[in-house]
Amino acid sequence: MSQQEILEKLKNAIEETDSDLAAEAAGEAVIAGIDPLIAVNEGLSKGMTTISDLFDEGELFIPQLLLAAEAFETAMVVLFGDMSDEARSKASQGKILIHTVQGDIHDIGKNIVKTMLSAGGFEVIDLGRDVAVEEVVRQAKENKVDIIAGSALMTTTMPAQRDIVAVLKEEGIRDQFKCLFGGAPVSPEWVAKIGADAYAETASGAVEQAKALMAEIRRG
Amino acid sequence: MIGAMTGMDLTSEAQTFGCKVSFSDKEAPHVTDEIVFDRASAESLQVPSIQAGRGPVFVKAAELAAQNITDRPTFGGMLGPFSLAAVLMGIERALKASIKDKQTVHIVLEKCTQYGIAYAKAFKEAGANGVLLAEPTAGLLAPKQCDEFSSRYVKEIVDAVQDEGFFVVLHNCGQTVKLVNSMVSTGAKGYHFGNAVDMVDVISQIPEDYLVFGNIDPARVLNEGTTELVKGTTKALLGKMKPYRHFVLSSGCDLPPEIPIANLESFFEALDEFNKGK
Repeated sequence: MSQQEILEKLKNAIEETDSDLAAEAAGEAVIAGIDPLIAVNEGLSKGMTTISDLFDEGELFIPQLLLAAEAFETAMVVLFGDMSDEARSKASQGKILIHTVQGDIHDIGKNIVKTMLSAGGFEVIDLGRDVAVEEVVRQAKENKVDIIAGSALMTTTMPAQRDIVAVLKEEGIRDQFKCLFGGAPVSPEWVAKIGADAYAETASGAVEQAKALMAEIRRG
Repeated sequence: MIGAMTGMDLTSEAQTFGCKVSFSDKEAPHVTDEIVFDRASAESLQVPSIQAGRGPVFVKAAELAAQNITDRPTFGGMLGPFSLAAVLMGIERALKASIKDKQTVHIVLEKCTQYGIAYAKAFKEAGANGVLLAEPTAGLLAPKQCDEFSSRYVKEIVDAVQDEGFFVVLHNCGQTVKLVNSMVSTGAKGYHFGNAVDMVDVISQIPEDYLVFGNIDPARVLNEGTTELVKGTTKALLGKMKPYRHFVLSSGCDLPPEIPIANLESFFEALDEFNKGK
């Protein structure tokens, strides 16, 4: 199979939301010696773009999106299994810490955003759900991330986003991280009010915002 | 106010089925585990007695409300079949299984529906005039899936309890513009929508002999907004709904516990002023 055929197979596996096919194609990419980054950018991510566009247009729904995400993550494990963290970091668009905020267990949206960010070329560290504010800040420092992304799905848990910004300020490290927040009750007004950097309403919006934030970081 | 609904939380039914629930002073209770993982655990899942768990407390509240609130209809509240199944299975597992392992989801749904019919009947026997059936998780499904995994089972509940004196109001605060036909296929007398939709888009799809409720944003407007924003938003919605005689003003979902009372007053003032033509 040519490189082009393998890349096409990777793309199709995501579009068909088929984890088995994605694992098979990723295995073939490894054997053929295809650079994992090319496999992602020219294969998997193209499939994810198709899925994301169809979702934004209302032609696809969450269940298919979840299966596509699962296929994507399955292939990623095969492609990057042997690569060191350092090599992965070098290749990424930027490093993002993602979580659902303290007290909040709604993580389906966060999981979709995570996959979309990976598909967009970012290195994503997922802390899971109901993550304490202090833990978010500690992990952000330890992993030297560029962006802290957090989702809150309840009005009672939104204040954790404000607390993250406050702790970063207290520790004098606010300018080391960009804060990108979202979730059903979250609004651009709220994000401005708490002094965070960006708001995203949708998963594809989160990727755009993350890219814009990285451009800001590079401009310095 | 045209109706009074007694309290509900979204964990009572799941807890009765055997899930663990975390309670705190500041938050709504939430389920902390899943109990259906595969076909075998779906098959061995037992439908609990209607006397078990906290269900009887909610039914008692509906009974007291029916006895003491006599100038308007009273409603109980319960979780819809797919939303309950998704809690028992874990939401991601349920959504993935809706494509890859439909049979397992149907096994769970049949049990949720069996319990739901008994629960709705208990509210009816307690004297409530109806029940609000919260089915938000169905908002994540494709329209055909909504027919298959939600509406078909909601219809079973509707058929079992609804009559001239007892209405089912189907609530879905998700993105439902493409799901309206599926929702109406349940035959429920009322449909309640959240702020994810423009009311014009949904109400225009629903015949006038059904009631349509919605949809002031409970978080960004009613909780976070000023009294002016609440009044302005409410009046704007009422204005847009003027051509629709089957519209009933409501919030888009249940209200956060810390909501300012002044904002609720502003909401009702807006309705009053609108009705008086101000």
